[in-house]
Formats: sequence, structure tokens, C-alpha cells
Amino acid sequence: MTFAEALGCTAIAFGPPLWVFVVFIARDPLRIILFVLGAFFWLVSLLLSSILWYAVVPLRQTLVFGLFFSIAFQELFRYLYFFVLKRAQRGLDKLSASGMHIAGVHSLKNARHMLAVVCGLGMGTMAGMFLLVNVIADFSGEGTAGFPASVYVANVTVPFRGHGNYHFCLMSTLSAGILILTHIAWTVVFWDGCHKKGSAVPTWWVGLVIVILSHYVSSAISFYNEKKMYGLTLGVQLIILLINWMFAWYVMGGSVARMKAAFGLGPAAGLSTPRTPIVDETDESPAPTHQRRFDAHHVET
Amino acid sequence: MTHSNFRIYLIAICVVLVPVLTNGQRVADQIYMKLDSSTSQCFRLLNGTHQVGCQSKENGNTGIIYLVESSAELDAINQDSGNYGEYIVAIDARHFDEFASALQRMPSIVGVLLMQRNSEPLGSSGISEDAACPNERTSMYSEDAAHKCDWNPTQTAAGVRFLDWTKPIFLIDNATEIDIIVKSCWETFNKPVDGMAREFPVCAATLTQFMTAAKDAPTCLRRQEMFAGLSGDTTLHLCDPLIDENIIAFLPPTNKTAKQMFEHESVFVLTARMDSFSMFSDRTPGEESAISGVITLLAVANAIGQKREQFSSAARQRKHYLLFALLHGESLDYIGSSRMLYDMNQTKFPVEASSSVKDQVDQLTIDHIGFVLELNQIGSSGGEHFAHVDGTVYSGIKREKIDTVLKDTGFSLADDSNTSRLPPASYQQFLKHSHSIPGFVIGDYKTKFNNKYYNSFADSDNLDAAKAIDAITKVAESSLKAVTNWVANESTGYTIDRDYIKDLYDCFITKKFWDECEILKRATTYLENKAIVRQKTTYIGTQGSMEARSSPIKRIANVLMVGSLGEKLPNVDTKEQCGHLSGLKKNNMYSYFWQLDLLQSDNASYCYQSTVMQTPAQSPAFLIEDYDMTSGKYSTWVESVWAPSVSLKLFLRPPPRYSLWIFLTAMVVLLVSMAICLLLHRISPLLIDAHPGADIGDPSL
Amino acid sequence: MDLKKVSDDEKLFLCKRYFYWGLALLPFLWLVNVVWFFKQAFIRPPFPQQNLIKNYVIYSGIGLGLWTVLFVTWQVVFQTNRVAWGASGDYLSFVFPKGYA
Repeated sequence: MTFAEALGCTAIAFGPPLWVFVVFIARDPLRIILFVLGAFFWLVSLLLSSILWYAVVPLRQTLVFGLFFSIAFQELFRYLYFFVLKRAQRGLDKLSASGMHIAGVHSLKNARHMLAVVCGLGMGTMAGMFLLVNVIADFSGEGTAGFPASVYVANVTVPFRGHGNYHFCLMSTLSAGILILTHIAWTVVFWDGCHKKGSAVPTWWVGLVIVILSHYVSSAISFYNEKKMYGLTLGVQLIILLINWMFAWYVMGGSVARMKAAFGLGPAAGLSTPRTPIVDETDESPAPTHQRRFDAHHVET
Repeated sequence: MTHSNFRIYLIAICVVLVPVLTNGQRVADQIYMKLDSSTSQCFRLLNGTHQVGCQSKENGNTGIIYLVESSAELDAINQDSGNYGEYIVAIDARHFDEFASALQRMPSIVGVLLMQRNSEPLGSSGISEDAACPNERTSMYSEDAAHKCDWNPTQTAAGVRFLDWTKPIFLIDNATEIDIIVKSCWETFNKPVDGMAREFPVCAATLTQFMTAAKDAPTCLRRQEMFAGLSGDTTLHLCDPLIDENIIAFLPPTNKTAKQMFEHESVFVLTARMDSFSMFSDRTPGEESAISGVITLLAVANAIGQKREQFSSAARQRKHYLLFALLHGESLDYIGSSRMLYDMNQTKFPVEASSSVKDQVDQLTIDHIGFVLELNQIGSSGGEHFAHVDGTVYSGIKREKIDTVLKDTGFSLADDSNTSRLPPASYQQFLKHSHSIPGFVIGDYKTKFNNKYYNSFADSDNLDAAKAIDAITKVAESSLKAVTNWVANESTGYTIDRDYIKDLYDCFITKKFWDECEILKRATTYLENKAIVRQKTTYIGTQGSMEARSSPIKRIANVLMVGSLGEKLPNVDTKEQCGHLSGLKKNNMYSYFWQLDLLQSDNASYCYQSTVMQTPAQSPAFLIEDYDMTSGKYSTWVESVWAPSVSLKLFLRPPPRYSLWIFLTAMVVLLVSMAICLLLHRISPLLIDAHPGADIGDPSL
Repeated sequence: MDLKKVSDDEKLFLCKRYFYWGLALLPFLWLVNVVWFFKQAFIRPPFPQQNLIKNYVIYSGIGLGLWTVLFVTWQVVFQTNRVAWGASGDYLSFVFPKGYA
């Protein structure tokens, strides 16, 4: 593989998330912080699964074991992140209640799905990076996968036969790209479930089940890569991506009518017409006159 | 990276890469296969005017593997180079000499894998790495334009070792690795089917072996000296002069205090060279080129050592002396002999006179030398041996002296005319200093070497043991007779021990490693760095002044000489006491070595007092201030420093368009995802309920 | 130093000093002079010292140009001939290449 291919693979995997970041996140400092925090939470989950793997010596070679707990920890930390944010929101609520306006709080309070998108992208990006960095680094030399696996010579033990195909890097790339985008949907759906539990909605658990289940399926299906069934793996992962995004769209209040409206095919009437686009939440909506600005130079005590 | 960090890193790969990598391997393990069990690499040497040998680019040379068995395939590469671009040619070692110049010349060949299966003899084709006229520049005939010198039958007149390859060559002798290259790589992916080149992916190799010195010896020496002058703690290490030691022994010893001194033409020099070379590191067995002569000389030393007292007293009466000289670096422009003669001219041979030593040896100078007998390639199966003389010397006043010795040995002259020329031999260096020293060179050849592997990695397993032992015994007996007659005026009472020759032959030549036989196992008992000493290498090398790193052949020859010529000191019981004796400096006539009795089988060690000494084998070129390195008077060889990363890896190369295709796809993905994101941003207020926060302030949360 | 806070007389003095110091084989001073006083010499509305400043800036520019030509020429000559010069080339070098002449 060449440098161009390494660059291309990186762009394929991280291109879509990059644009999500640029369009939806980059302009708001708070969102950037939350994005990084999402990445951090994912890293901590990785650390814990590593420690567990390291501690349980007999199961080190059992891949399923590591896989199971890795995903469990990821989902646990998705929940923890939600929990932490909720706590922060409550504190901020008190601040706003006492009449202070803090830049960014608005988005924390009033756009929970956007928050989920930001945090999910953070987690997904970190997951994608860990998935891909070594692959890209190893592939940036001149060779492509397959030679060691094809060696059948006496006295030579080839450590692992599989992936004997120069599409290997591209497949990893696509897989990672899909994973990042799926993480966004997972976070939206997962947090919606958590939120609904707090609001005592009886069907709150549906979203959680979908996320956890599809996360396991998406990882487990990659075992078929060993049989070079890249099409199957990628197909299933793509379907999971679509299902999760459909569900996310649904929980965000999406419907066929809205879809039609969005593309100018139907009336927008009857829908709760938003005042501003989703990304502009940081802009102040007309502030009540009694609201004081939180400004270092003009703090009134 | 600490161990624990590495573990976490490992697990990160192991657990997180699960979706793509199902077995916790580094992806690189699936791309590259390193072959490193048995490769020797061609390396760079430089002399006063040239660089020779091989090197890769700093990051290695990469090309498509192509197995070449005939010149037709070489032509195919030449015409076909547009197909894959650059090639690494895999070639059977038997064809090396035949194709060497083509391989070196063709720019589309960026590296060579030389395959030598241990089980297969190299056949009759022959591979000499030396030139048709070895050591031509420093030869005594170098200015003789009429001299046609082609002693060495080789297809590459300049010698493959002395070509400037500018590409790496790896020698592979591990059967498994050869199978991987030939079967898994070449036949599976690259071998044309029905004359058609194969589709990508094809099998490629990267050969990495970077050498730091370039151009010529003066340049690299000057640069590292200048750089070191700039700052104390950083140095630039580019090349090192070749250096080791000669092994010499006088019998009887001289003693200036006792007025036992050399006289005019009183010394008989019996000499053989102990070095050979190859372009490949550590592949210098030199069996016929050097070892056959060494064994012969050792056998003579052993025979005389058995009767040392008798020989010495007889010699003393006649005031004659015998000098054994095993010379080092002779194959690379006579390093050892030129230094020996240089030291003689400076009256520093074997050591400088010193006022602090009581009993000290006399300094040998060139006019003390009465005769030179050189043993050069003895073992080849022809069975016939010839004496080679220089026509001018032989037709001069010394003819009679030569004839006398010749009669003792029973050898006939290869050429008795006055145009007779010596083969490449240390004796030439004597004649360069004084053109009246009688002597001759004994070899198993008449006009051309019988040895088809003269100075080459392949100078191994080519001799017929029984015939070679016969030949060595015969030459040893003749030489012994000549020596004892000349020095001690005795022709009887000395016998060559055929079993000793057999043992040495078995050790040095038949066995795969030098310490696999009893006598050399005992000989190496007290040597440092045993893992290296056992390797069959005779190359002079660069660090010879450090005992542990000097060449194995020299260290072993030293032990054997001491064993033959030494005298066990009865009252010295420990190694420390023995070492103490050499430190006393009461005399410099003797050296003291603590070693096993090589001919016994017990573990008793003794302190041997002998006249065996080491004298420097470093070219005078590096001693003389402002020496003109381009003059060709002395050897100027230096070895380039190796860059540490030496590797050979095989991998598959994807179609060249594939990466372009990926890159273009990536650009499309970038554009499309940008469009989708911007679109979503625009329509998202309509698409979803952007403000679901109605219930967020719910205190129940 | 902020030129805005310096009187025109002092600007002239500075410009002149930079030019003369540049004569001591210090072309970078001329470079600084040209960049620093370019605006004063050519863009600002005329003022009494401008002509002299302009002269010094032009002289500095010419000197700088000559130096540049000299330097580039030397570089080309040196880089193309370093190996051929042998020892002399090495004595003019500071860093030596590895693996090639």
C-alpha cells in the first residue's frame, strides 16, 4: 500500500464524522468539550476492559470473553456519561433559575438529542481510531495483507491464516466508518431510553435493548471476516447502522410526514415548528430583559 | 514503552480490533514475513580509490521477486521492466558467477537473493569472488605492462567482490527460507503462466542493508576524523581499517644479551596466509584458499616441535633460524606481509628494541632472510604440486640456492624460464623490498588455480578429503625436509604426523563448526567469545586488536602453534601465574599461554612458554603520515560501518492502481458526506423535533 | 521598536545606520532595512527626510540583491561540485552524508 492509500482509507473512515464535527460541533466550544469528554469516557471503558482482560489470565486467549466485557463496559460508560451530564444539567438549571445566563447552557438544557449526537460522535471517533490506527500504520508500507497466510512450507508456522486479500484495509476502513456513525445513533437511542425511564415512560427499555443487542451483533458478525466473508460482515453492520439511525430519527421526533415536509413534499403545518435550526441553539433566543449576563466585568453580586 | 504499558497496548489491539482482527495479531504480521535465520549480506569495502560491495538505500530496496535460472529470464527482465518496475532477482548460487556482471549492470534489478542449499554441492561451475589477477595493484608486477596475469579462472575478470554493486545481495542457505522464496513467493504469485506475466497482487521483497561509508577510504576516514574534531561527544563512524595480527614464531629464539643474533641470510621463512574473503559477512571458510596452507604449515611446526631441542641446538650451531609466519589479510592486498616487511625496514620486527627488557629478541631485517618458502593452496585433488619462482630471481645468482631447496622438496618448477612469474603470494612482498631473496611458492596448480572457489563464500565442501589429506601430507613432508636441511642441516629424524593432519583437516574442513572436533574444542577452551570462534571465518575484519573480536582463524592458529612449539612450564599451576609471567617483561623472547595439552584427552592445563608471537597485521598505509592512498603501494582497504537495521521481508504488492482508486473513492466520500451534513443541517429543523426539551426541567429527573 | 512613535529624523538616522552597518558584510541588516522602511520610503506621503530614506532603502535593496545572487551562485557551485572537490569540499562541509559521496 502506498501513502495515497493510507490517506484514502483514513479519509473514508473519518470523512463523514469529520463533516458532522465541522457542521454540527465545531462552532460551539461546549460541544467540543463534550465531544472530547465522550472520547475520554470511551477510553476509560477500554482501560477497564483491558485491566479485566489482563487480570483474568485463563481467558486471555478466549476472544469472546474480551469482546463481551469490552462491549459491556462501553455501554456502561455510555450510561455513566448520561448520568454525569444529567447531574451537570441539574446544577445548571439552578444557575439559570437564579437568573444567570451562561453561554452554552441553553444547548445543554434544550437539545438533548444534539447532546447525544455530540457525545456519541466522541465515543465513536475514539473507537474508530483505535480500530484503525494500527491497521493504517501497518498498511502504510509497501505491502498488503496476504503473504504470510499463503505460505505453506514445512517447518514454518504461520501464526494466523486469514484476510489474505488486499481489500483487507479497505474493509477495515469501511467497518470503522460504519462503527463511528453507529455510535452516534446508539448514543441518541440509549440516552433517550435513559431519559424516558426518568420520565416514567413505560417503553423506555426498548431503545436500550436495541442498542446493546445491535452492538453485540455488529461485533460478533465480524468473526465472519476470518472466513473472508467481508460482504456479509459489512452488510450486516450497514443494516444495523440503518436500523439504529431509523430508530434514532424516530425518537428524535421523526416521522414520514416530517420527511415529506423537509423535502418540500408536504405541509409543515401541524408540526411543532421549530424557531431556529438545531445548530443555532447556542445563539440566544430573545433573552428576557431581567436576565443578567454572566460576564466577568459586570458581575453583580 | 514499559512492559505493562505494552500489555495494555496489546489488549487495546486485542479487544478493540475484534471487529476486523479476530486473533490479536498485529496487522503487520499479516503483511510482512521476515526471513532472518540464515542470511549473510554482501557488505561494502573501500580502498584508496574505489568503493566495492553492496548496500541498499536507507529504507531498503524493494522489488518484485523474479527467479532467474537462465540468461533468457534476465533478458525477459530487461525487456519487461515496464511491467512491474523494479526487481529483486532470486538466483541459485551456482549461477552467480555466470550472471554476476549482468546482475550488477542492470538498473531494473535493485537487489539479489543468492540461494545456496546446503545439501546441494555447487557443482563444477565454480564461483570465485576474486579477480582474475588477485591483488593486482599491490603485486610486484603491477608496473610490468607485459605481464599477463590470469591465475584465477573466473567469469568476472574484476572479481565479483570488487564490483561496486550499489544494490544489496543477501545469501540465503536455509532450506526453509529458500522454499518460502521459491515456492510460496515466486511460484505462487509471480511465475509467468504460459509466458504471460501474472496479475497483481505479486510477491515483492524489501532488502535493507545500509552502509554508511561511500566513495573511497580516504574520504570516509577524513570525514570521520573531521567530524570527531567538531565536538567531543558526538562522533561520525563511517569506516574502519582492516586489522588483525600475524602469528609468527622463531626457532631457535634469538637473544641479544646472549649474543644469539641474526646474521646475513640466516633465516628461513616458512609462510602461509591464513585469510580469505567473501563479499558475504561471516561466509569466509577459505578451505582451499587459505586453510589448506595453514594446516600444512601447522603440520611442519608440529613435526619440528616434537624435536624442538634437537632442532634448536643443531640450528644454533649453524647460526641459522627458522621463522614460521602465518600472515593475515594477504588476500586483500597483502596486509600482513607488507606490514611485516615495513616493520623489518624500521627494525621493529618482531618488536622494537627496548632498554628495559633484559633478554630480548634481535630485530629481523630483510637482509637476514635467506630463503622464503610459501605454502599456497595445497589440497586440490590433482595430486600434483608445483613450485613457482620469479623468473628474474631464478635466472640470477640465487638460482643455485633455489635449486638446492627444490631438490629437497622434490617439486618441479611450474615454469623455469626467466619470464616466469609468481602467483599472488606473500613472497612477492619480500621481493618488492629486496629482489634477491631466493624462494618459491608451492601450490597445487601450474598456470591457473585448480581451486574454482578461490576467495569465495563457496570455498567449502569442495575438497576430496582423502586426496587432500594425502596432498597436504606430501607437501608438509617435503617442506619439512627442506626446512630441516636448510636450517639444521639434518634431513632425518623429523616426521610429519599424518594423524595430526587428519585431525586438523577434519576440524577445519569436514566439520560444520570448528569446535565440533576434539582438538579444536580443546584449543578453544580458553578463548573468549566462543560462539564466534567456532564459525568458519577467515576474513581479517576490523577489530583485530581486541582479543575477543579478532578473527577466529588467528586465535585458533595461535593456540595450535603454541601447542606444537611450546614448552610446558612445570612449576606454574594457575592461569593467573601464567599470565603474570608475560607481564614480568624480563624477556620478550617468549610468550606464555595457559591452555590444554591438545594431544591429550584429560582436562589438565599448562602454562606454555613458546616463541609464538603476534605482530600487527595492519597496512602501513594507515601508519605513514600523509600516505598517498591512491598510490597503490600498500593495502588501503577499510570496511564500511553497517547501519543496524538489516532485514529481508517478503510481502504482496497490490495493483498499483488500487491505491489511486481508494484515494479517489475517499475524495468522493468526503464530498458526499459534506453535502449530506450541510443538507441535514439545513433541513433538520423540519426533519426532527429539534426542541424536545419540554420535559427536561422536570424535577423528577 | 514601533516606527509610529519615532520621529522622522530618528527614522532617517536608523535607516542610515542600518545601511552602513550592512556594509560590514551583514546583508540581513539590509533585508531588515528594506522591509522595515519600505513603507516610509515609498508609500507614506512625502516628508522632508523621505528622499534620503528612499536612497538608503534602495541601496540596501541593491546590496541585498547582490548578496542573494552571490549566495545562490555559491550554493549551486558548491552543491554540484562538493564531491568532485574531494578533501577541499569536505573542509567546507559541516554535515557529512552517510551512504553516498
